[in-house]
Amino acid sequence: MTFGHYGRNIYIFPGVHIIRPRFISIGDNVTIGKGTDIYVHPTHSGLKNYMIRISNNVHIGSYNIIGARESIILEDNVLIGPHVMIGDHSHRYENIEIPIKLQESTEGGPVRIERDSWIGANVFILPNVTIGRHSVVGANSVVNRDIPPYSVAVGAPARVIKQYDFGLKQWVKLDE
Amino acid sequence: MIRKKPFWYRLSNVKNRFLFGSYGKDVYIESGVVINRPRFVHVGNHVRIKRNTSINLHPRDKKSKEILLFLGDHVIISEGCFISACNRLVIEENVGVSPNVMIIDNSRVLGNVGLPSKEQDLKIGSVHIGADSWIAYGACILPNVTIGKHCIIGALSVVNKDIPPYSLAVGSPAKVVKRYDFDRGEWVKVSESEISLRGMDKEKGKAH
Repeated sequence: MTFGHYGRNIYIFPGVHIIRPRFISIGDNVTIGKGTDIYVHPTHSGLKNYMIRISNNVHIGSYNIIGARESIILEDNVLIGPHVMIGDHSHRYENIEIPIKLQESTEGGPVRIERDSWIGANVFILPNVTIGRHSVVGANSVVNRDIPPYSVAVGAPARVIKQYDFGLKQWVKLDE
Repeated sequence: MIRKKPFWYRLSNVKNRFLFGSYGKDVYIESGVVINRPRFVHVGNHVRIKRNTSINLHPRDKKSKEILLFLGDHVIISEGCFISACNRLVIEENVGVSPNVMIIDNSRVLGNVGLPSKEQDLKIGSVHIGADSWIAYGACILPNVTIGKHCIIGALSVVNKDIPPYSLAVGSPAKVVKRYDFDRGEWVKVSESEISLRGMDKEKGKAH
């Protein structure tokens, strides 16, 4: 098993399943919790770029599922809680003749989680989503739209409820 | 770390054939799956159950031979699922169940205030999931629910009512958002289709 890039001081807990690790790059000081599954489904096997890019000081909790077909980028100092699913593709269902299980997956789009953010427990992140810098996603939320930097988002689908105000220099609640 | 069918899975299938109520061909149950009382389970052909799934069966009559949990052909149950069956739980063929999904057919009646909830009576129902459906990540399916054919249940949604066939339901509690329109031959949003149906009725009224 060879990773595309493997930094220093990485701890991968026992029971982590990684499929096709040569498309994955991992930075320094990364922890991956137990029971995590990381899938990579490249469009063709001769692909040179990394499909999952995990930067320095990232902590990934236990029992996560990360599935990549396009690209998933976790920037520096990202903290991910337990039971989180990050996927950049999903199932087609339009053809009613074929079972959904056997239909090919959608094209999807890249997922990017920017620096210093924190993802809570049991969160589902849909394709084509960018989570901005230093933002928080609450537990049990479904993220289907981009989340601006310095904000707190909760619920299914996730809505921004708090944002950092640089004029007042504090976190301000947003009303509807 | 690459997951493949280990060479001894055929042997474990021979062992499982004696343990389960009925057991199909080419079944792959990964390590870490916990099934108590497997003789109340019917497993079809080409079923796959991924690791860390727990399946609990609580039959009322422990000597009976009826099957409580029915898994059809080509069913896939992903990691970390929780299935609890007391009466009848049917998953038809070609159903995909995503990780961390909970499917139960029994819950507690919270009638008596004097007793703690875990000592109260069980309310027993039944669950039926139609063929070709897909249940997305982390959904919860509550007792007395029938999900029709070719349905999609969105991620982290809670299903407490019946879902008609050929529809897409999301949210907690789950509501039908899209439905397949057989006249037009495409998927339409539910509010739109209702409006169009009303419009058609009006036009018919005019014609008459």
